[in-house]
Amino acid sequence: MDMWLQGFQLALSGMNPLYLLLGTVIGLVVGVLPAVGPSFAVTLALPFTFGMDPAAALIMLTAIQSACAYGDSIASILINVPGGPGTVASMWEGYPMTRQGKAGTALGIATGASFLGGIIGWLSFVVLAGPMTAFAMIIGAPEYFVLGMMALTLISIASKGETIKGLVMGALGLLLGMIGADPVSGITYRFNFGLEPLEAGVEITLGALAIFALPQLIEMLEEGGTIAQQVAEIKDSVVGGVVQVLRRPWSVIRGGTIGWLIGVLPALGTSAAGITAYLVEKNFSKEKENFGKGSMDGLTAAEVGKGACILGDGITSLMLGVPGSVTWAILMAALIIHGVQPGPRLMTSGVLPYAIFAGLLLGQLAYFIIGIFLVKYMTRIVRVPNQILAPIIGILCFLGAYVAKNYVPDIAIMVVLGVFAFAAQRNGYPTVPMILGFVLSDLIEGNFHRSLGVGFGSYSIFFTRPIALVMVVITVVFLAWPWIADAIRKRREATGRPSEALNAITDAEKGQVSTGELLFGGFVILVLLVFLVTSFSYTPDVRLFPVIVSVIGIALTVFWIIGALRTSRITPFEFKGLKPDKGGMPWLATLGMLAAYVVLVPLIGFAAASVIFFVVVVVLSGFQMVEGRWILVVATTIGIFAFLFLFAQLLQVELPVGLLGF
Amino acid sequence: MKRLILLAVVIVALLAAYACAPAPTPVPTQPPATAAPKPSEASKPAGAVWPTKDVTFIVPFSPGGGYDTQARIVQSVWPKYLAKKVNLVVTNQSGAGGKIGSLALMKAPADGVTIGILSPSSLALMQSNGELESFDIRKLTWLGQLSMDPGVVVANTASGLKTPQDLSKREIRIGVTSESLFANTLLAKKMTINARTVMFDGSPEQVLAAMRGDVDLMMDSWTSMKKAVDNSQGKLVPLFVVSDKRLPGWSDVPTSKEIGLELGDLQAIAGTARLVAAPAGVPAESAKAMEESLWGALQDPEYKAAMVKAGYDATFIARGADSNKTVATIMSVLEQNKDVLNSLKK
Repeated sequence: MDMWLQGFQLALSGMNPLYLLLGTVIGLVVGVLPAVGPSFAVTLALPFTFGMDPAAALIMLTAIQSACAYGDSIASILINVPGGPGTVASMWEGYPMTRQGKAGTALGIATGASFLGGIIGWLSFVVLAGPMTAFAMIIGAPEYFVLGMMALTLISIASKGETIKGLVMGALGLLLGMIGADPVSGITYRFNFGLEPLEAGVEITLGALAIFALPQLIEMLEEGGTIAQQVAEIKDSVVGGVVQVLRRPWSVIRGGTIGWLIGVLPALGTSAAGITAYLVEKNFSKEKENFGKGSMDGLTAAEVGKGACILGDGITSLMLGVPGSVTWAILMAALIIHGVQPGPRLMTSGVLPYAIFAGLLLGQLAYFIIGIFLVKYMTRIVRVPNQILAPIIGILCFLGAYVAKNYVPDIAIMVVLGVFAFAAQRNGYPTVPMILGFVLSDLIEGNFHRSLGVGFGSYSIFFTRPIALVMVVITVVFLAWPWIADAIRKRREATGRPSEALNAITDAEKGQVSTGELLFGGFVILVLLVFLVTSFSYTPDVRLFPVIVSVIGIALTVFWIIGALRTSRITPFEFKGLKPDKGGMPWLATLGMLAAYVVLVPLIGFAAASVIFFVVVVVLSGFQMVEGRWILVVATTIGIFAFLFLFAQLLQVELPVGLLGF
Repeated sequence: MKRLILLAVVIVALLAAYACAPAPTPVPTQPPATAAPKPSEASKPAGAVWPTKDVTFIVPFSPGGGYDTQARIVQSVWPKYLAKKVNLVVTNQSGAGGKIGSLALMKAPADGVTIGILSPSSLALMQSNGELESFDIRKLTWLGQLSMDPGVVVANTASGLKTPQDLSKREIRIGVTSESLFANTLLAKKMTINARTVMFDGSPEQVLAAMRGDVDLMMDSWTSMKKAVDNSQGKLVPLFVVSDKRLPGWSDVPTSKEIGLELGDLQAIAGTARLVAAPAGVPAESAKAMEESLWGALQDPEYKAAMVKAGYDATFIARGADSNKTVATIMSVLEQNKDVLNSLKK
């Protein structure tokens, strides 16, 4: 107890509160930018902390992490672009709320729920760090494999009403995650199709941007106007959102527990936490019908999950010396450079660890208080014309894709993947299962083969380890729950009709499918066939999972297409790529400009390509240059240039400069 | 009219963009040919003194790891020894086990603007697998060695493995990462261990598995194994060091030679050497300035102190010429053991 007091005293002494504030502000600024998350923010700040004393350095860096993870929600909620990997799920309910004019409430929920998640995580840190460390110790490869399979079953919830197509997209996500070095032998690069950039695989950030941000950008340009077009005025308050969180204790408990558990397990990061918390909430919430239409339950769970996960990640990082996430790996490096070794003996190394824990709590408080007062000003962003906002989002996505690895070809990978995701979305294929499969792919496959190694090649290992067995049982019960619930209801009510729970997982008969849907199905089969055929050039262990996944994917797609052809009416194909029928820019034009941007970056450099992209999009999208609005365009152009210049200069990030050699 | 003004602003902005483009590193159009460039192109007008402008320091691994941390430590000391005050900008280009960033370095112009911290054993493996295009790592301009972690063999205490003889009694599960797979396979072959290698994503997970007893044995670099043993609360025990000499702080752990093992060339590949390099064909004068200034920094007490504080060891530093030899030795080990390499692909 005495140590805790000293820890708080140290955290609040001298310049430390200033560093806390500075960290919070830096974190919020980077967080608000779409596409870049906490790991980027912390990496940027790392060199500046070398000269600081360890307490100040860690207090500032953890404040950046917390504030940035919170700030990420703002982009997700207001513009439907993932602010960072942890806030992908926050888009799914937050953005619909914004469209309904409830942006203030949504941001309030994000503020309150992130904070509560952080508090749950922090308290568990203090009370349960010991036992949880022991728990994380006994979770090995078989348990991780079963856990991954458990999480994968959430696809059935993620794609309600479109279950088969959802599973197909999940299979594609799994395969996407298999690109790059294989997890079995470690020396085969899979599915690189002779391209060097694919050998490194696809980063989570990159996948999230491609799957969600690019389609959103295309849609914004198609619609024109502003995000808030139907809404006259945003009157709701941020505090109201915080109150909404407090009225949902069950969502907080569910989301917090899941997020925190995922945090404690080293192999799973914040992206899995938000998505899992959200999907589980979708299964248990009393307002299921509201999901996808701005459910406050869903947003609360996703945000609490994210907040709790960040602190949960810290437990294994600090107590075991095993990084819980990329960001924590960097924070650990900061500790190590200052001569403090994370690990079981950290708590015995004086007052510093207590000061870090104190700093973690104070960091939560700092962004919460600043957020409450300042976040409402962010809602003005939804009044910015889409023709201006969309190209800026595009530039930030390109920047985010580049800085993840300082690698130009990643930009092209993002755009190709984005075009695929856009085509899927347009043709009624849900993209959420894809990100879920993508996030879980390596966890499932790697740990399956690892388990076999640990068990001397025997499959019995999955049933002889008690925790793994319990997880298998939970998964089966979870999958069978609709039928179990149905049986229980029937006994109680003695009515013959199937319950709501069972209805939810059987696809509603739509009666008609579009030709585009069928054509895309054909394209998916083609893609899966390419993966299947390529797989056969690998050794049996290395190709096991890709073959299983692509065969299942092909079978399901064929099954779906046959079913659709037999039972549904087929609407004729209509190509809208060049028709501005929604009032804005046709999607093919946007795709063309994105492609041109990709080509321009290595040719003329990032800054110049970005400025050209911005101006061309603004002009071609038919932005009305009336009432002095051209000044806005000029000012923004200069602003973009200034931003990129400062970004490169102040943060010492090297942006691509182009072939011309300037 | 308005559009004209807009156009003008764009043009001005673009010109400005070029005029003040920060720390410009030209994107290479062609990988530098192994043949030396024409003298007129290679020599800079101001004489080939280094450094002339900001230097990009490529780390081909993600932030937070050993390579990144050591790069940042040397980054903080090196400027003291530079003739001209320039920034050393650490740039993480991770991916494909270090291949992406390492190739970026090899393809960069040989003008001293781009240097990198490289893992010679990983690169030697890649080169032997034909993955480094036509580059030969022996031809890079090697500048010096930041550290060398000898390989050490650590066992799970409960596995009952204590002596080299124990290792040949039953099937042994060896924890590996993609970086350590080859060295461990070679070790198993030399010691005739009936081995089952289990692949992990990274060293921390491998260590946890060993502590749990999910794997019996692992051979990895000393500094990370030392931390693992210290943190394991008695669950891990070091068996021997793959080195000629006992290690500081581990004086009770025998060397492989002392317990009667002739592992010979395994030494070169079992350890982790962290070397700094520039692309092939850096003009001799620049290369000398780079090597000398780095050597100065490596001998600086400040460097040693920072390394020790971070839990690394700065005993095994070396100059560029010695680094050249290290790389050549590692390559020859791989060439002699092509059969082991090929067995991994099956």
